[in-house]
Amino acid sequence: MRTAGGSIARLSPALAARGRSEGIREQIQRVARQLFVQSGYDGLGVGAVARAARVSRSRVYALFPGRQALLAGVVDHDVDELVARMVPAARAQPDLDTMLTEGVSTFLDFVEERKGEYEVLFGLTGRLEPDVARLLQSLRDRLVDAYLLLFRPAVEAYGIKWPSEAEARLTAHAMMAMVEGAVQAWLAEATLPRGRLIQVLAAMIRRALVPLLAGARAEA
Amino acid sequence: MNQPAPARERILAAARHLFVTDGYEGLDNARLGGMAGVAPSLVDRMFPDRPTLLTAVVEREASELIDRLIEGIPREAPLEQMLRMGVTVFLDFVVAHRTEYELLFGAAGRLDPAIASALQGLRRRLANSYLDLFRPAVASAGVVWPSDAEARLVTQAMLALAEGSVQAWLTDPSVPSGRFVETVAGMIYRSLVPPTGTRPASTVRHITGGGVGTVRPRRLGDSSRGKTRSQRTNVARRAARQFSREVDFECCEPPATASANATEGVGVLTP
Repeated sequence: MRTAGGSIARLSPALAARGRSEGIREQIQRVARQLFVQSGYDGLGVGAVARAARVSRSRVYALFPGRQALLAGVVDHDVDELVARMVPAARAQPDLDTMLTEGVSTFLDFVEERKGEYEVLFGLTGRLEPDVARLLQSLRDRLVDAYLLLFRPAVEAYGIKWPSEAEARLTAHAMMAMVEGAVQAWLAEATLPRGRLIQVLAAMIRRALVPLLAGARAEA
Repeated sequence: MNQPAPARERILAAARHLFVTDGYEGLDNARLGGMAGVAPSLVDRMFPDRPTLLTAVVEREASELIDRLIEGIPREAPLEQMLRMGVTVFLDFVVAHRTEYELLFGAAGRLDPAIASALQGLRRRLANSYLDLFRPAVASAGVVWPSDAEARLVTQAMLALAEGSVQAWLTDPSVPSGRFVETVAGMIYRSLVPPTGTRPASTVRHITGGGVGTVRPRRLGDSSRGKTRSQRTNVARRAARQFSREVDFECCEPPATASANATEGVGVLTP
């Protein structure tokens, strides 16, 4: 079995330099993303990634022991990035409407930038290659945690209270699925202008959320 | 197809079973023919390849769901009640078909683009069926869509909302099922119907003080954050402003209590 150190020594100088600058993990993730977009989940594998990244199999395996781990690495990276991009939407906005408009717009930007990956992952592969499905469910759970953390203060400041934690999570899942599904349909067939799509989705989320106010006031 | 329906039905029922037990790759025509009580050659004639067979199985599932919705939903009922029944029927269907639901759609994911686009088309048809089913009640509730394209997109969004909620609920069913139905149907209803109710679109006015997509002035204390505001913020603000000018569907004015509280705690991330 090759050691990790040995495999690094075999990297070309250029790749080694890139490996140092972006880190071997990031390099593998980047290659894994490209392979996944090109050939789907079936095309993703430790061997294929090692060949494409010109890294030894054992080096890849040490970081990502298998196809599922490789995809999880890609997805984790995406979640981190999406969440990071959502922070300004959540932080900068003192009002719910602009916050929602910006949140939806951010999500759409993100998806459009990685349309190929998104189609494979969130499209039909996601429903459901069992491995991918499990991964996506955990991804959605993570995103729900992040969205609740980011947006909840603003939503609650608006007077909205959820009767239970479970219901808050369910609502977040529902809103996320709605936006995901609509964006997916829109990517397949862009029947509305982009700006209008954002407006319609933000308005639907707002309306789904805001009338909770009535219930909350009645209970108070 | 000119084959007698019972044979086709038997093949599809057997295929559904075998896709679940043997997986998409493992499906064997001889075994399928044996289980359906038909010659394997008949299977080949009716369904020349596996994607065709899988598409037919998925379409059969979708038809069953639509039939159940048509049976289960009271046509004369108000929209809210229709939605509640719709969510109930959908939830029951997914729970009863859980394994097939996952495996059938899962198998599809690995397939060639032909079946992927067939399934995408199936989703569109499902959305159209829902639209036909609910549109009269939606119209009675006073909702006017500016275009057919928008009506379809909204329907697809609602479909995704229901699917995603059910998926989340299957993973973590801590909300009781009755409450689940209430919550999801309620969200769909409110997303569709503006809370201020049933004014016809011609009387819609544009709310400027906090309606959908409108922009409130930034607080003075936010100036430091304003400096680091991303370009995207500006794009979103422009979109929001445009929205408040152009969109001709109504929305609610936020209640006074909400307005008073609207700036409190915003931007504070509580752990």
